[in-house]
Amino acid sequence: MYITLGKPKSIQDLNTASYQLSKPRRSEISMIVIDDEEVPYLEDIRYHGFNLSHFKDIDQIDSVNGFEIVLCDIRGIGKKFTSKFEGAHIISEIKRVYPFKIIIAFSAYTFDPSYNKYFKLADDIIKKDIEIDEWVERLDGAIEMAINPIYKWEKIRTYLESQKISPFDLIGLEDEYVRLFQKKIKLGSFPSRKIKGNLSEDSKRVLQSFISSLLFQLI
Amino acid sequence: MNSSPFAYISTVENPPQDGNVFKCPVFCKKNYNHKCRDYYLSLINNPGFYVCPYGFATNVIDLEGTTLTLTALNIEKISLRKDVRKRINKNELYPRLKLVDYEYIISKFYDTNLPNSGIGIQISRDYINDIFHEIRKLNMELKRQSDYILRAVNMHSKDPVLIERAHNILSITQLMSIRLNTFDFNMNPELPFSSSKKKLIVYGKFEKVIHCLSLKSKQKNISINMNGKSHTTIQALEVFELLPFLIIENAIKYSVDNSEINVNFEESRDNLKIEVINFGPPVKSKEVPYLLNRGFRGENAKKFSAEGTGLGLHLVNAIAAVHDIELGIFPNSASFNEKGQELSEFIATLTIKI
Repeated sequence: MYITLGKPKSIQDLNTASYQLSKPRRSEISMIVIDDEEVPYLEDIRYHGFNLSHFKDIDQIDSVNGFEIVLCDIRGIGKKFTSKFEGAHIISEIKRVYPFKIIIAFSAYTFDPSYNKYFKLADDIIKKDIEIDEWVERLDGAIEMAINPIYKWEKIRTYLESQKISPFDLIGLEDEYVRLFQKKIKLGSFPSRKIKGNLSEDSKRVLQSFISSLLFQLI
Repeated sequence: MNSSPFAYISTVENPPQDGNVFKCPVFCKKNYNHKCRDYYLSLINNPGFYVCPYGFATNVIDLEGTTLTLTALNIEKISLRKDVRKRINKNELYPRLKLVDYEYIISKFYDTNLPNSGIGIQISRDYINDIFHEIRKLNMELKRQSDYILRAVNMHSKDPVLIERAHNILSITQLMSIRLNTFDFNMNPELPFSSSKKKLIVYGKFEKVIHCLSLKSKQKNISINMNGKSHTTIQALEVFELLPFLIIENAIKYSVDNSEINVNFEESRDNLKIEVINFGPPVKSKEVPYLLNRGFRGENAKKFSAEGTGLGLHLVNAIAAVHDIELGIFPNSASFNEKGQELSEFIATLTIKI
């Protein structure tokens, strides 16, 4: 039996005007697009101020570590991973290693239900023939997701739940996360040693990179 | 009909019946729903091969004036292999037949050959997938090039005719995207729910679609008037864009030449009401309940226009439902004669809660 004193903070406590973070410039959010083909409107997208790097393929999932937003083609990439699901496999691997990153499936195979499982892992789906103004709209939307502390927490919470973290520790983590944004605790104190001790090695690693991804918002 | 080697439909109100040789899969019996019913309704009296929403093949056969609907079929290159495989229990006898073997069984059983075996369907699904993938990519390139031309013409030539032409090319590519999105939605209705809802301006979506369809409406000398104004925004899935497209495209398709289509926007405190009014072939009162069924086309509509698959209003209804939008279809029963053509008013309404 657990007894706690006081009311733990809820993620909804961040849903007030005083915690709305200032919107960063487009160039401050790094994005990567993984596509073996030429990316349409790449120059125009960059001209609009987006910080978008183009990789024809990646050899390891860690290659996306430095990017907040990952756009990934469904087919034609992931050759080194030798999965028949190609880019779709990459999406599921990124989701596994970096569950808090904003993933956008980028595809012309949106009519094929066999990819739905992978589309569902993504935060958005971009069809290959959209125009530049829609690109701008969708990438701005992705940035909004990437800087929204509530949205990011919801993603990490889903991951932690899949890792069978105890509901008690989850409430504790959420409380600490909210306090972090309210500047009531320091970065180094998240997660607290008490909760950290109950987490699996994978969860610890994910939380570590999650915190690194929040640095620019917290400092 | 109570004698068939394969499962068959005796009435659309009930799940398929067991065949004499092959039983109906348990999945089809247990999960028979309105989607299945609408699907079978759309096939009535239309011989050929079809694929049901769950991946099984259906074959409607014409036997000297009587049609038989054989279904829950597992036929190579027609049924969707993966979909069927996951819906069949291991202990069910359900071999995947080659089309020629299926046709042989049917010809022996009914002592007939299948005249509508649909050779086109034998084209591999993968091949079709690759073609559609390629079309989207080509369309992307076309968009980029026409965008470039438009910018160059605007900057250097400023010739209004050239500018209009460049705009037209861009509109066609936008139309092609919407068409491909309609195809996606039709083939993969679950896809829209994979992404999150986004804020959009309803009026703006109608404006864009009308612009994209302007070439088509000009060809029939139809003017489309947007009356009233609205700034209403809603949270909607990407697929929402198909809704104004399908309604306006339908109105153009079934409007007489040199007529007008009125799109009225009326905003109140609680909702936004959009009315799309056109004049076209009269809808018979007995057809009204079926207008939203997949594949249904009224008798006069078929005579009026060879175009059309009967999918438009069915998809509109599906998209409206997921956005909690009330769709109303009001064909006016009173008709009038214009230049030897029987016409009546057709009103489609969308009521969106604000």
